[in-house]
Parts: sequence; structure tokens; C-alpha cells
Amino acid sequence: MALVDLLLVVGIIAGVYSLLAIGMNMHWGDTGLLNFAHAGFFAVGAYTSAILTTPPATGSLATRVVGFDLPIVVGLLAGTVLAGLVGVLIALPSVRLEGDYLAIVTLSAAELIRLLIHNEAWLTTGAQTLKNIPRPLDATIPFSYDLFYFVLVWALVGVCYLLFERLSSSPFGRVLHAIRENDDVPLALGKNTYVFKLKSFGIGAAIAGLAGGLWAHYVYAISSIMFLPSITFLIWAAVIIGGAGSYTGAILGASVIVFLRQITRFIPGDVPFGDQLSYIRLMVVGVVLILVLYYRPQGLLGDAERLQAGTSE
Amino acid sequence: MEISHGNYNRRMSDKRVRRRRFVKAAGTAGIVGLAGCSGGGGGDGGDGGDGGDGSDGGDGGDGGDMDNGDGGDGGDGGDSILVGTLAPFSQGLGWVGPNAARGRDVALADINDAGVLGSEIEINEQDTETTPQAAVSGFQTLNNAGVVATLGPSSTVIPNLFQPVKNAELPMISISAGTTQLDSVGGPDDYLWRTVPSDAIAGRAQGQYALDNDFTQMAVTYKDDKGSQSFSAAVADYFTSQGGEQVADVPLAINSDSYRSEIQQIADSGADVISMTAGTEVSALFMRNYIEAGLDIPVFIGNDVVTADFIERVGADVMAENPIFGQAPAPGPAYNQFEQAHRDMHDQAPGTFGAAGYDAMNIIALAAQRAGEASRQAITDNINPVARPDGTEVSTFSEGKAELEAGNEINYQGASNPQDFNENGDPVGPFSVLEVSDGSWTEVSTFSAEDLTS
Repeated sequence: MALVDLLLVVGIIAGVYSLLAIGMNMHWGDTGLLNFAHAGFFAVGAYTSAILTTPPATGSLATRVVGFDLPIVVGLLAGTVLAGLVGVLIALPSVRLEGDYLAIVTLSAAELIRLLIHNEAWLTTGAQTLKNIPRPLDATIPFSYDLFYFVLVWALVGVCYLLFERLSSSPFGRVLHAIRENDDVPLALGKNTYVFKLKSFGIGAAIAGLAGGLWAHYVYAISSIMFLPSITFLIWAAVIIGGAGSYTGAILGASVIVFLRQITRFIPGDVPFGDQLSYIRLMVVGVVLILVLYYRPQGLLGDAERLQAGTSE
Repeated sequence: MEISHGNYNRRMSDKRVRRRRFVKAAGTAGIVGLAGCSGGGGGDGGDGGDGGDGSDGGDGGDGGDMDNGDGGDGGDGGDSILVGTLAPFSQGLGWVGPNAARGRDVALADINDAGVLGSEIEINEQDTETTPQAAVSGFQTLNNAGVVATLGPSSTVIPNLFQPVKNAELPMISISAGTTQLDSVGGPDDYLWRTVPSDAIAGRAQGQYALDNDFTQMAVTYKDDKGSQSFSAAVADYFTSQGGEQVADVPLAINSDSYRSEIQQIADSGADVISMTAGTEVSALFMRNYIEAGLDIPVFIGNDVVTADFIERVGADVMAENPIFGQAPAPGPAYNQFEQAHRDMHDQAPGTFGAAGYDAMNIIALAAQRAGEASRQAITDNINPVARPDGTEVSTFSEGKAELEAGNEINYQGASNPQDFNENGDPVGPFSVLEVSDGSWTEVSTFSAEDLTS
């Protein structure tokens, strides 16, 4: 049983990361936008939902004065919407930028969000951990809670997958693809590429916000240190391993990375360099990324044609 | 750009035609490989459950449920007992895990020499990466492996584990979490203890010493992170509750080139004493700026920099000349003996939290020994009893084992402090105030446990 419990926990993490990867795939895979602000959207979703559903704590270090006791579903929705809005806000001034310039602006925007959370203790508990976040339907689930949450998360992954697949093949998605390939073409056809990019950015960010809310309500406690840019890089690795442009690939990539990190936990400590295991574990993910890029540049489930996106000028 | 792009395109399409079959094959191979990979994962999981020892096969199958652990492990000799270590080994607090693990191994050598219930203890070590994501999966990995108890992680991730620890009924002893967020949680009902004192207790020592020396206006300054904030808040809370006044609250940004303006701000606030908590790097820079400013305001520094290394960084002479005070838990009764054993084993002095790791390991082993069985619930029920003040004082596992076998109650006296736990699983012990003289930290005053908890 315990192994099942462990697999459920790992599965939940994989599900949350899959949602993040789906959002990232909308940005990069479909639209060709180099978004490095994903950890920021994740944080906005997590903190919004946590603040709306967790009353302020009391006692020492209870710096947070804002907090509500709303139903969790309200928190999740608000987190999703707000993350989407923040995505649009960040995109408004920056989305006209090309490739790596956009990457720089979005990366700093994500750090800005994290530092805001770190410093505005009245709202977020600052550097301290925002704890006692409620779990949905806690204590009313008659069977394993992890099983319930696993099903919930993966059901949402499924819904988002269908939705985004549909979006990607719709006229809207085709414009995004055209923007990715060469944004002069849709412009010549009378499409306002700026607005399409904003929409893409907002929708992808909203899904990251949903992932943040789901994660916050699972782990009981969140702190600003959870939202370092390393999450963004990990999701990038997931999208690239899975294959940019493919939503199945995004989910697969996220799951592969999460499970790789878990499997390496089972390496016993008495192998050579066993005391350096924590560092070796991170290197394994890097090696897999390199191997995939070497043997399958388009990613596990990616489309070879997609490779050319973003290389055009 | 145009030209090279064109080439690239052409090259790609050539390749695609020539290599279509290969790509297809590679794709299939990739997917098969992947399936193999995740299949392997499941298999590996099973191995983890085995606890790394063939004889534990039954346990792995049982999934480490405590009830089964009870029956399986009780009394039979030869099987190894699996104990976890969940600590940060990489990222932000990556230095904590290795320090604590070295301390733990010193205890382990003695424990496995003597044997717990006729068995040896084996360790399963998991990294928290200083992030809750990794801590949660690391904890579940230990739970799955069927560990009977575990050393626990730092303040950063421990609030994420309160509930999982309780749900798994897996006793955990944190070796580094000082945060006051843990003050109201812990003890046998929560399956949670720590071998380092709460910041609230340590803060009292600092606040009280300032009050005893007739300082009334305190400026609090701290590195802008979780641990330092927690400690500073504890000092300020106590100081103001006892009639002192807090005149400034100055956060220190982590990657600053100088803290001159912050020091000026403190000087302007009219403070007559400064409390600074900021870790080694920030503290060293702050100290240099403070010394060059030539202020005659005494400064208290956090216990994380009461180290020989810090004196070396700042300079022994200037630290002795200026009114700089540190405070730290008075070393536990067994510290000298632990330090010697640590040097013998690792050729180096114990690092911060080394003694806490040593104590946690000893307490877990003694609890199992006293219970007569190595199960989660039995260890949980026996952690307080082996540390309570009315038994025979012992400071190593082998001493404790001998006393327990002779039918006596024991009182474990730790290396980091006496390890007498209160109802929330927090150790209460004496604290020393120290200053630098002749190049080393020297005690100027000590507060007893009673002073600090009254």
C-alpha cells in the first residue's frame, strides 16, 4: 500500500507540473513566445487561492493581516483568473519584443512577483511560511485523500488537455501557429497579432495559476522560496523533452522529469559518490535532457517541423 | 541571418527525407525505452521498500505500515532497523544536511557497535532540496521505505510536513528547525520533536541580557529571510514585553555591497543596543561596516555566527575591542566527548547542527531500546521517557543501553543541549551569552532553563 501512496504523491506532483507544462506549451509550443515568468504565474495562483481561503494566523510572526475564509473553489477560480490577468499585464508592454528580449523581461517579471510576495508581509506572510491552508473536502473523503486529490488533479489535467488541444487546432490556434512561424504572415492577412499574443499569454498564465492553487491546497503551506526561477527552467525542460507544440508531449515531459527525480531517490547511499547523491540526482535530469535533444531534437512526441519556429526572422 | 536560415531549412528537409525511417525507429525506441524506464521505476520502488536488506523483504511488502512493523521487527535479532534522514542536502540550506549527517554518523557508530535490540540501524537519506515540493516526495519515499523514525528538516519546509508526519504516524526529530512556527506543534501526539531550541527561547536569552544591562532602546536588524526574521521577532517580542522599546526594524537585503546606510539608520534611531541576526555572509559584511562606523552601540549577533570561522573572517582583535556579544545554547553536557569522537571519525570539528543530528540519532535508538521494539508507535511513546530528568544521566547510546538493560530509567544528556523536551517536543536548556576574548568565544553569562521558560 505504501508504494501506492508514494506513487499517488508523485503522481499529484506530476499532474501539477503537467498543468504548468500545458500553459508553457501554449506560449512556446503554439505561439513561439519565450516565456520565463511561469514560476511567477504559479506563485500568483498559489498565493491568491491561499489568501482567499486561509484566515490570518495569530501569534508570533503572524504578519499577515489580509485573509478570508472563502470556499476553496472560489480561491482556485480567483487564482486562475488573477494569474491570467497578471500574464496579460506582463505581456502588454513586453510581448512585442522578439525572442530573447522577451525572455529577459519575463524572467525579471517573475522575480519581481516573487520579491513582492517576499516583502509584502501584510498580504503574504512575507518570508515566513503561509501555513494552515485548507484542503478541499478534507475529512469528508472516506478513502485515501491522496487518491481523491490525484483523481482531481488528473481530471483537471485531462480537461485542460482537451481544451488546449481543441484551441490549438481551432482558427485561433492556427493564427498562433502562424505567429510562431512568421508573424508577418497573419499580419498581412489582417490578424491583430498583438492581441493574439496577449490572449495566448493570458490563457497559458491562467493555467499556471490553476496549478499554483491546486498545489497550495495540497501541501498545506507555501513560502516565497517555492517559486524560484528553477521551476520555470524545469517546466522548460519538460516541454522540450516532451516535444514543443505537443500537449501530450508536455504532459509526458513533465511526468518524465518528476518520475526521474523520484526514481533517483531510490539509489542507495553506499554507491560510489553516494554522499554526493543530491547533486547527482539533478545531473541525471540534465543528462536526459541532453540525450533527448541529441537523439530527438524535436522532443519525444514533438513534430520535426516545429523545430523551425522561432528560428525565422 | 536570411541566408543561414535558408541553408538550415534545406539541410533539415534533406535530412528529413533521408532519415525518416530512422526517426520513426528512434521514436519507437524512445517510447519503449521510456516505458522501460517507468517500469524500472516501479521495480526500484519495491527495492526501496525492502530497506536495502533481503531480510526485510516482509517489511517492504507490508509497506512499512506501523502495525506490521510492530509484529515483524519486535524482538528478532539480525534484521536491520531502517531510520530516515530528511534534510536539506542541496540548494539554499544545502550545508545543513551534510553537517547533521556527520554528527548522526558519530552516534551511529556507537549504536551499531552496541546494537539496538540485537540489530543494526541502517539509514535512508533523502534530500529536501530546501523546497517543499522535494520535501513532500522525500518524506513519502521514507514512509514507503518503511523507516521507523526519521531525522527531520529545516524551518523552510517543516510546516508542509506537520500533517503528513501525523498521518503517517512516523516520528520525526528535526535537527535544525528553530522557527517559532513550530512552537505550538510537536510532542508525541504530533509525532514531532526537535533537538534545537526554539528561536523564542534563544531570543529570550538575548533580550534578557540586554535588559539586565539596562539597555532600553533596541534596534533589530536581520537578513531578510525566514530564519533570521523568526529569530529577530522573538528577540523583539520578548524585549518589548519586558518593558524595553524597539526603536528600529531594519531588514538587510541579501546581496548588498554594503550595509552603511542601514547602520546609519540604526544610529539615527537612538538605539542603545542592536540585535542582529543574519547568517555568516551578511553578518560579516555588517560587522565590517559597523566597526568602521565606530559606533559605541553594543551589538548582539545570532547564534549561527558564534563560530571560530566568524572570528577569523572579521578579525579577533576588532571583535574583542568592540562591544560584540553572541548567544548560543550552552553546549550540552556531552559536547566535548562528541566533538572528540567527531574529530576522530571525520578529521574535522563538528559543523553547525552536527550535535543536533548526533542527539536525534541517539534519542531514536534509545527510544527503540527502551520500548523493546523498533516500531513507529513504540519509538514515539518512548522519546520523552528516555530524555526526562528523573532517570540516570547518560550521554551515549551504549551507556543508555546498559542502564536500560539493568532495569533503570535514563535521562539522555545531549551534545547540543540536555534535550529535556517540553510538551511541544521542544528542548529547553540553558543559554550562554558570549564575547570574543583572546581569539575565541568566551562565556560571560548563562541563563538557566528555568530563567528562560518562566
